[in-house]
Amino acid sequence: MPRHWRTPTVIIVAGCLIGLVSFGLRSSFGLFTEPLSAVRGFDRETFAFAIAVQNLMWGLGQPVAGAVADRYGSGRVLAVGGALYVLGTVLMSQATTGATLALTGGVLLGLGLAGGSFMIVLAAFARLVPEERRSWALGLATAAGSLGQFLFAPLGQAFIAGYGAVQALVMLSFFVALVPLLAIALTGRGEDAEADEPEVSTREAIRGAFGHTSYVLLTAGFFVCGFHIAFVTTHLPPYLHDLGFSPSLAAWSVALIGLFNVIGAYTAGVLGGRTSKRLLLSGIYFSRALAFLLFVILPPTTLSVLLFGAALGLLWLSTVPLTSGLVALMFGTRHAGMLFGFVFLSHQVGAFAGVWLGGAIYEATGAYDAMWWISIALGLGAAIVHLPISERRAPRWAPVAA
Amino acid sequence: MSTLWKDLLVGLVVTVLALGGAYWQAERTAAFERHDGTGETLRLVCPLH
Repeated sequence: MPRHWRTPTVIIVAGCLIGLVSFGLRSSFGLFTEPLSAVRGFDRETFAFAIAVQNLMWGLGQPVAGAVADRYGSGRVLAVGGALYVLGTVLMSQATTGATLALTGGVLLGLGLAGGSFMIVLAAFARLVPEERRSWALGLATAAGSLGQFLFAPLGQAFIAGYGAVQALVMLSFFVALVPLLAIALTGRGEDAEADEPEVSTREAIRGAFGHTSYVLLTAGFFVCGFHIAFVTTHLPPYLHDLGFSPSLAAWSVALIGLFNVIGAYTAGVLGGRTSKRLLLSGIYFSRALAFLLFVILPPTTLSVLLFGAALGLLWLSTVPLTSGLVALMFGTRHAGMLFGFVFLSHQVGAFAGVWLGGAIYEATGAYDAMWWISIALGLGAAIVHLPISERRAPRWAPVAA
Repeated sequence: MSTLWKDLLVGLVVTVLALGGAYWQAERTAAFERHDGTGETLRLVCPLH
């Protein structure tokens, strides 16, 4: 089949749609906790366990899916991942025991997410989009993924209200069935981009990356990103409830995070193509620490909650195009999927820590105060560790003469 | 058209979509919450992760 139709524009549009659909459905799963549990007789812990398994499998599966995409092309991995995603979602709707829920909504869906979503699209963009437009495309893909929540969260609610949770989940999964189709545009390994890159085996790439201080620092920084996001996502609404705010204010603060997240992610992509990515990242983590600090020390008001949501939204996934852009800058695109995958695994471990520690500290002390201060300290730490990162090709990955 | 202007134009489109989406989502969330009537529901509709 001729490949000339796969222009950068087609690739970017298809990749953004994949990000929108896959991230969008994922973001609506919280809606199903109560209604699906009611239909199937699950307790909340059973559902939460399945989602925890899903996050873990997503994180663990990401480097593997990335490595396969590096070898055989992103299109195939996205197609298989998208199919697993649909299968996992449909089977999850039919699960009647905790074990089958964990297997379908946890293991199968987690692996589907690893292969059929966001990070594989980013790796494909790194390979298939010209280098001078790479950061912009990574920012646009991140913004598109974030836009998905606006489509799927209300749609999920409407479907649940109209057809019940089981039917709604099946109906939403149809959207993800578009992923294998859209993936056709992202086939190919970007051999042109790899032409001047040295031959490095997978094993060498792993060893070389983890022996490169800048990559280790970047990975550590992304742990903090996951920690912050998961903590705020899970614990901000109950925190606001404890402060006596109405649930609708929390709903608006969450919507503001989503809105400014889209703007922040896109802007970060644009700026990342024009200025230092490590300095931008350092600034983002420092600003997060500052936002947490102001939120904790200032008297809580409606305005401060909304401003906190807007500020945090700007700093939310703006780390993604910059972090993935730095990986491509350091190591080229030959192993981009796998090396993004390891950084993402660190993010997921951080997310697990943020959710778990938030709950544990609240149970132990009856308040989130300690958790806010830990988040501030981690933000400052992440701001510092990004400063020494070297924004150039790692020595082993220096371009070779053609 | 320069790259900067193209980037800004795409950014404007993305922002308008996000504004509409955020308004729709917040309205729907509030409606759902009113319908359900408990603070607990809010946590369940949190759409970001």
